[in-house]
Amino acid sequence: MIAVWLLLVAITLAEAGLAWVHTAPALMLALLLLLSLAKAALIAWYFMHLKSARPKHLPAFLFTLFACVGLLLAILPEGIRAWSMR
Amino acid sequence: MSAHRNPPGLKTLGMWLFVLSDMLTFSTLLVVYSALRFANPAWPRPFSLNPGILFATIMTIVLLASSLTMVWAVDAIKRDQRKRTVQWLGATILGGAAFIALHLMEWCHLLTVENITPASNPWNVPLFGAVFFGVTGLHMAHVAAGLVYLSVLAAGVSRGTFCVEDVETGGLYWHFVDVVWMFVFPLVYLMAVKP
Amino acid sequence: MTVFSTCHKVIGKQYIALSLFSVFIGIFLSLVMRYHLVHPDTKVKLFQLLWPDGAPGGQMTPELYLSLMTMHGTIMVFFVLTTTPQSGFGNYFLPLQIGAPDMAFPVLNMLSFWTTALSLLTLLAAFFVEGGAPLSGWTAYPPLSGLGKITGPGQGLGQDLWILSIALFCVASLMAAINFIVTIIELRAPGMGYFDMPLTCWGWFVTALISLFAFAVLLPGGVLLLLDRLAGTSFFIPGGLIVNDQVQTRSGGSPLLFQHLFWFFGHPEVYIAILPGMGLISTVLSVFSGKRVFGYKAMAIAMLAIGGLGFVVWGHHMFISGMSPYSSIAFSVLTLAVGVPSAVKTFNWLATLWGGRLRFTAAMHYALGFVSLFITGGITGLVLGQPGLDVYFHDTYFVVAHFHLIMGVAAVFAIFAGLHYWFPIMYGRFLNEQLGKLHFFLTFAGVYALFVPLHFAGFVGNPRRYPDFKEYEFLKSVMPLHIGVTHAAYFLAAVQLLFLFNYLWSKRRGALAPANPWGAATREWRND
Ligand code: HEM
Ligand SMILES: [Cu+2]
Repeated sequence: MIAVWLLLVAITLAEAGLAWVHTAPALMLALLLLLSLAKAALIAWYFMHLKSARPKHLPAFLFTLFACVGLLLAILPEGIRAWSMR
Repeated sequence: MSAHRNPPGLKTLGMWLFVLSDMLTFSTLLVVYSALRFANPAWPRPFSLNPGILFATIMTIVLLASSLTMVWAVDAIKRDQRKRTVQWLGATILGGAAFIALHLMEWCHLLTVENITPASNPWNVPLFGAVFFGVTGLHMAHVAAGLVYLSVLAAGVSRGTFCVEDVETGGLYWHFVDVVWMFVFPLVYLMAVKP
Repeated sequence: MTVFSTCHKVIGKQYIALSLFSVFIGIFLSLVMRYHLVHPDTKVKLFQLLWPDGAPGGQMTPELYLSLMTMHGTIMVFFVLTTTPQSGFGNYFLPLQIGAPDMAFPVLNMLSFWTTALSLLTLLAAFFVEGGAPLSGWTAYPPLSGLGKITGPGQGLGQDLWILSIALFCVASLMAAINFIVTIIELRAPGMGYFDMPLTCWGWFVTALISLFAFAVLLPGGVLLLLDRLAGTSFFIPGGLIVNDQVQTRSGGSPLLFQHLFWFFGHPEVYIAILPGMGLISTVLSVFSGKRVFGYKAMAIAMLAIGGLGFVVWGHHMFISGMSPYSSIAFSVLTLAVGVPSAVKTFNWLATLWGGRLRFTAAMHYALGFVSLFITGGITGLVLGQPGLDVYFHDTYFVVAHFHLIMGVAAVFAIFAGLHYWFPIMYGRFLNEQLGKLHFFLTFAGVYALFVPLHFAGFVGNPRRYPDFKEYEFLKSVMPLHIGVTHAAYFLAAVQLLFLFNYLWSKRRGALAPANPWGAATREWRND
């Protein structure tokens, strides 16, 4: 567990490092999202015990969650449109 | 009817469902943030590396640490070491409280020194403060609720009324609060670092 | 029976009582509105008595009309249609039907009921605060709902209470959803697979799944709206607004964003209202046809499909709100696709009846009425789902007719069917059958007399949410129609007293029911 925790801290520091070196925003966003997903997965897998015990139908629920988030992202183009309409 | 006992795993499943639903709630907030940021091209990026980002990084590590102590609390109750469990729960509560304290210090600094409030800021993009305080505020509310939850749990464990699954469920909640912060930290702080 | 009971049967009855109380308030408000529409200038003492500020001298202000409309819609959608079919019937009969001793988390169950009750009280409190109830409809679009008092009486504290009430309702519904889902997944009787559950359970299951994700999006929407009002943020408030000749200082936000969040919840919400009814109607039709449900598996899968598709069609409420026309095309196609599983259900209901030995009990009447309403209301849905037509029909009485038929009355018919069908279990007695059938025929006639003409008002372009039509030349021609509609509304409301009487009377004095009077096969009728 300590190893997992150290890994989480290391990723956190790496993320902060991206800000430190002023990575270009688009690239940085992509990298940050990837790293954060990795952290979330680590926490879920080890700390929340997905590794050993899985609640029933979790994949289906997770899929639904991701689908909902994906759907919500359909809102984003509206933001861009508002911008170009100015 | 009262003699009946529910099978194990019920509370775990219930908490997972809550976690998934609440994740969608936070995702919604982050999507709102993204849409508003798209629509406001002059979005400010006010956080300095030191103290801004450094401070937030420390907060992140404190919260992560409290997750680790929570893991140990669950381990302890599984081995039926109630006293240990209460101690680790206490450590977790301490970590959470430290996180809130640091967070409030930061809020005060932003509100009073940097003049960033929910409704206004020096760059005339009032939404920046709205998003910042909205998202971090809701997260902080979850941490605060978690502190109450864990305290009740600790009391119950020391009185012997709560069992393994109760502590595990509390752990799920606490780790979930941590997971949320793993997205808030990069998106709200790191993506707003001073260019 | 204790007040804070954790027994699922008591909680189920509490939910039903709560919505019975709500429905009569809702009906009363609608009658006041219908009266005002045809007598816009008449002064009424009662109005002045009830709303001294909203009806000075008995003359109703436009603002009062809008606040009545808001409260009517909110009460009906949330505290009637969302409450009885799912939480009322579901709590009572889900454990019985799947052979569980109770819901998975009885205490949580008790808490969700009392949170719902608190939410209702918070909503009703809006009538009594300064400025009265809010004006912004059950959809609460900003900027109207986001700026506070300046946008009208009722937009101050009244609107705050409204949002608070909805937030509480979200929390209560999320707790209930978790409870339902865990109960169904974990507490089915040994050997009972998902596809062995009665379709009622499928209805509650899919509804709970929808709730789990839909309310999770409405909740932050409400919280952000509240922040806009109380903390001076401007998530949903655009720049450069002028309200009542005052320039507003907020800037940067997007009203469209709120509409997206609201309808991401709002369309699934209409399925939350109707899916439990669909399940129940399947059961009632099959029991009183003496046949098994035709295409059981297709029925269950159709419910899942409707629930899933329900999440991808929200944009059909926003065709004219300034959304990208490309999005409109996608939303339109997906909306029309909902017609497919809906048609599967309808045809399977008809096939269930086909060749059966039909018993025309009161419950069966309501079930058939439900199918009728689902068809008439669904067809207008297909009309509205096409942007070209909706540009014209949006916010006209055509939409009012559509959603009242399919969501409002269809779900209410399911409630009637359920009460007649399950009354013997709930109270050991029958609801009076003759009275029930009489009530059915009068209600059925009243409903169609009320809502069919409204489609025609929509054809003329009659806008909804207008308190007074006489100012508009082009609406002169529809006034006779509105007079007829108002009379139908009086009739319909009066007829509901029959049901109230039947309910209260039969509870005490109704004919005693034997153990399984309808000859049903599901578990709740087994004596144990
Ligand atoms: C094939 C099925 C359906 C289709 C294609 C459909 C389509 C539509 C469309 C396009 C609108 C927007 C009209 C406008 O505002 O201009 C609408 C409104 C509405 N629909 Fe449906 N619908 C369907 C089924 C249902 C069902 C099953 C319910 C409820 C149980 C329902 C309840 C509502 C409500 C409440 C509104 C009005 C919301 C408001 O603006 O206040 N619909 N429908
Ligand atoms: Cu819809």
